[in-house]
Amino acid sequence: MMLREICCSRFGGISDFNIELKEGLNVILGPNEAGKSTVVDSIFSVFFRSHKLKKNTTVGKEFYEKYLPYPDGDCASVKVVLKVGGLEYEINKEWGASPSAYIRCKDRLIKDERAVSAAIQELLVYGESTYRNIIFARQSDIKGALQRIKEDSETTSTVDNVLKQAVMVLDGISVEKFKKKIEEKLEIYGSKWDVENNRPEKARYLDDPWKKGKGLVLDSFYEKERIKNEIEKAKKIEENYVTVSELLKEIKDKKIKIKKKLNDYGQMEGEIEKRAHLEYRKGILEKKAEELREVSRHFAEKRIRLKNLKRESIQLKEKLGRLNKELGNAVKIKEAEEAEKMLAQIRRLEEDLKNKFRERDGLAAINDNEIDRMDNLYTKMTSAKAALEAGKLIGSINNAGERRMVLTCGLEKKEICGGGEEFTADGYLRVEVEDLLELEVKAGEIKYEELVHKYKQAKEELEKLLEKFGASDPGEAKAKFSIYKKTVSEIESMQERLFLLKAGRNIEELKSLVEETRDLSARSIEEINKENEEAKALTAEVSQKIIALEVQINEWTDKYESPEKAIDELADTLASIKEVEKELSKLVKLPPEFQTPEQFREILKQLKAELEEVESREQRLKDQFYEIDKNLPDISCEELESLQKEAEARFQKRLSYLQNLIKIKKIFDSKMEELDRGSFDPLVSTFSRYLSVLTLGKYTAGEISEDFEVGILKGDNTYLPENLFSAGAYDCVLLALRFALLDYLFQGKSSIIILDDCLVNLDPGRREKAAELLRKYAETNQVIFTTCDPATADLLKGNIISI
Amino acid sequence: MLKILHTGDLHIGMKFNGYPENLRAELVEARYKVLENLVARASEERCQLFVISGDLFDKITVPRNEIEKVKGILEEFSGDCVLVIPGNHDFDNGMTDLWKIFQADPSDKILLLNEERVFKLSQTHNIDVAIYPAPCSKKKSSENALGWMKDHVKRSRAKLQIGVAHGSLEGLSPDLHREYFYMTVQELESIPVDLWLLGHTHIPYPSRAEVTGGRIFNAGTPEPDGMDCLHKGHAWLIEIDERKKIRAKRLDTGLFRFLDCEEVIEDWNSLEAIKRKYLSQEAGKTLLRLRLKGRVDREIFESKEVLYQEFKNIFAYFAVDDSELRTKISPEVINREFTAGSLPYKLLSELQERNDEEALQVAYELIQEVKDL
Repeated sequence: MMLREICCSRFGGISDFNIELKEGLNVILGPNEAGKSTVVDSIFSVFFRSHKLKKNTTVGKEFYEKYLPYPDGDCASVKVVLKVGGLEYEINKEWGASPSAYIRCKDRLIKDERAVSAAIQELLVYGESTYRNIIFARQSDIKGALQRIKEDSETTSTVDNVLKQAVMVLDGISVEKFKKKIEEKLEIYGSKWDVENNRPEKARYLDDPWKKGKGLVLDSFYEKERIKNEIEKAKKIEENYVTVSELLKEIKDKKIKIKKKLNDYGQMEGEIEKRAHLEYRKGILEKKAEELREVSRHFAEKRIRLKNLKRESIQLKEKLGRLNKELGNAVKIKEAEEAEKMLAQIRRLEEDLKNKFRERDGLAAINDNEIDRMDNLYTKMTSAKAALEAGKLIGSINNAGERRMVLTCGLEKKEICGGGEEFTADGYLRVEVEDLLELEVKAGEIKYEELVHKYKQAKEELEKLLEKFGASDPGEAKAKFSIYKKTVSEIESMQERLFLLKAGRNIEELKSLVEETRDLSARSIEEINKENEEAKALTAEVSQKIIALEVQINEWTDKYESPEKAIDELADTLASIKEVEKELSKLVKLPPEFQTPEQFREILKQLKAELEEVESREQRLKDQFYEIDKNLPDISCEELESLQKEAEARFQKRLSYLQNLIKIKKIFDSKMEELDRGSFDPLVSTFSRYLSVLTLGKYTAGEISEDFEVGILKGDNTYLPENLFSAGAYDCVLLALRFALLDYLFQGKSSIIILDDCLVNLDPGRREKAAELLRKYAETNQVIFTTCDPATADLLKGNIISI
Repeated sequence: MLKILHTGDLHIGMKFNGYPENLRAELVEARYKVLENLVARASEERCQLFVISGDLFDKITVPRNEIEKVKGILEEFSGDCVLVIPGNHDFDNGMTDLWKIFQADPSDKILLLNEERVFKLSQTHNIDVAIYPAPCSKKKSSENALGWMKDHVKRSRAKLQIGVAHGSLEGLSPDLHREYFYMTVQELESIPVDLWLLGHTHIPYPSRAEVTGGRIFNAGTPEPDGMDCLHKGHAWLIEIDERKKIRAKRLDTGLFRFLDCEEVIEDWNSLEAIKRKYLSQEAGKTLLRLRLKGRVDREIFESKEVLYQEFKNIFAYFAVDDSELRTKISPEVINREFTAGSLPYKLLSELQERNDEEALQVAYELIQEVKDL
């Protein structure tokens, strides 16, 4: 980038000024007040002052006063030709009566204000401030920047830091002051505020508030909370007020009602009392009259009834006597009937006994021994027979012809005709065939004769006994013995029964009893008993009635003497009742809501107690009410709410401000950290290079930073070599710094620098060095140097433009 | 013909604690002054009735001397009768000292409508008018006090029947929860009175300055009482002729004016326009709260203080919320105003990239402050 041409048809004190500039070093040479600075200002203005600049702004005011001075200054007009990237741009601006602006590049023309500004911005890369503070800066401004670093730093800094800070403070903003400002603001806003938890530090709310060192956020927080509490309190008091006053009103209404009732009832209380007394008396009289009515109605009647009952009682007693007699006869008759039955039974039994005797007498008298003897004999006989049968012989008559044959087999004999018949014989066989044959066969193993003898002897004796018994065999004998024995037993039993029947009885007496009752008659005992019981119950009932009647009659007699006198007394009582009723009719009536005067009295009592209770409650509520009333807020909740809204908004605003401060502080800190991370290293290196030219290679920034602490800043043992920062060298150092900054910003691209006569204070030696530095810088950039000194112009040897 | 001056919501006893002390006293006093003016106007207009439809007082704890002062002003009415109904701010539950003091020394002129019953003015003030009041007995109520009227109105033989009620009105009041004795137009119309005089909402109803034939009127406050009340303060002058035809004229009554405005500044022109607009106000009696918005150049932004000072000098009260008025801090602005590589340049550029406008603004202001040191 380079400036090719500057044309001022009118600007400040200059007019029709036209110069052409070249690459590298251009020296504008002219005496003081020749307009060198105005030329520089015109370039700056064409770049950065809108042709529509307002006159009422600070900048505008200054601009118009300086470059369009009244009365001649009705307009100013400047044109520059800028070469960027091989293209030439004609920038023209006119201020004043007919402001205009344009940029022309080849055939392209831009006239719109915004577009012109944007295009200039694009061409220049950096904005107004960068140009003002570096490119157009006066040497004195750069000194000012370093001075600020000096003032800022409380600690020792290195050259690195000086350079970094030089960049940072080019806008006139001191880093330290900015840091302090943020901290100060953070303190002002955030003191005692816990940002993380968004609450007062240590959670000290209104119940235990911070009193000293409060920041604005906390202050407005307390304020809004205080109003909030006040509103809550006011609302509560208002609510309480409404509640208590409504209760009080309620209780007052109630009191009025009770009092009214008490008043109404109180007026009638005396008469109601009298009424109560009279009604009580009337009640007694009515009760008496009722009793007397009863007495007079039943006194005589009850007397007659007593008489009748007494008669009835006597009759009942007589009836009971008769019934007792009848019962005696009935008992006798029943006894005679029993005796008769007994006698008949005895007679029957005696007859049966006689028959039984006869029956017994008709039977053989057999005893137990005889039966045993019989059994013995029978056993003997049967055992002999059995022994005989043990020697059994078996034979058959195969052929007997026509002859009759007698066979004796054991004890039996039988006749056989013909043959072919089989037979058996017990121990002995005898065969007789008519007279032809007599054969005897005996079994060898038995003593036949002895056994036959035993058998026959036993049989004989047995038959004798059987004959005695009248029986044909032992079985019959035993049956007969059984009948005999049974008959005897029956006789004994009948005798026993007869004995029992007769026992303790006098038969004759029984007979005479039967005889005696033969003419008597009576109903059944049950029937008589039933009637007797009924009569007895009736008798008891009648007796009771008699007693009751007697008691009643005696009582009445004692009380009233006679029915007639009771009637007299009833008449008197009824007259008294009428008298009482007459008196009652004169008294106030019991209100319909009461059933009785007692109820009236009770209610009256209750009302009095209720009034007492209500009055005491009213007093309590009144105390409460006056206490609340005293505390009622003297500012309405609505007004407080509006204040709260404002306080809340204030708090939010301050809180938001604090939060923004915190954010800014963080970014600020990060930016400061970036400085230490070497982002300025290229600047340091360039500066070193330029410094080396100035100091004949004696110092570089790196060496300085390693070997020396920077003495221009505070610090006991820290300094730069004096010769480097002595009055003359200082300007050179500043020049080096300015070139370094431009290199740093434009990063190798060519730029412009406009220098006022910065060599003026240098001694010849340093001036030479500085000129060399300038020439060196101008090798790659355009330098526009203004000076009033022709010697300087000569020294610099650039494109000299004299004005 | 009956002539009525209808007002309400004077809120005497308001403290105005949010305002500077000297102004506060003026604002408090203005409410009495307005009442005096209204009474004088009603007398001039030969009104028979002066009706205050609730919230004559701001609260029930108004000091005795202030109550008596109000009473004194009302006594000056030269017409027949001043009707005062308790509103929700100065409710009467039979216990409040406010109304006890107000009624302590009974006046023939002033009639307190604190009971739900017919007030026959023919018996007390020789005017054939029956008044049907709906007084407030508490601060809030979801039920209005109109319930008792209907049957009584039908039975009345008075020539004119006027309902006086205090509570929010459908469509007019911002009573979202219907907790301020809410009344609907239909409900009011169903009660056959000839005229309804309402209070509570601080805006007059109907919204026209002159009304012919309407039956429902809301007084609106005669003296604006805050930034939520932006009109000039009004009352109604109502005439009812023999045929019961109603004509009403809205009176401008307020002494102070509240303006709560929002303006957008874009450039010098809009700033000038704002200046012109507000400086034409009757600024000496105007309380102005201005919310300024916009993104402006630094020069304009910095000139705002001059404007504020100007406004402060002439307005009775001036408050500004310019938290949304910001300097235009675009990358171009940063580039123009700050040297590349400098601390402000780096800091602002970073905030600009983060699009954190608020922080950007704060940082910018901080930089300006440091610069001015």
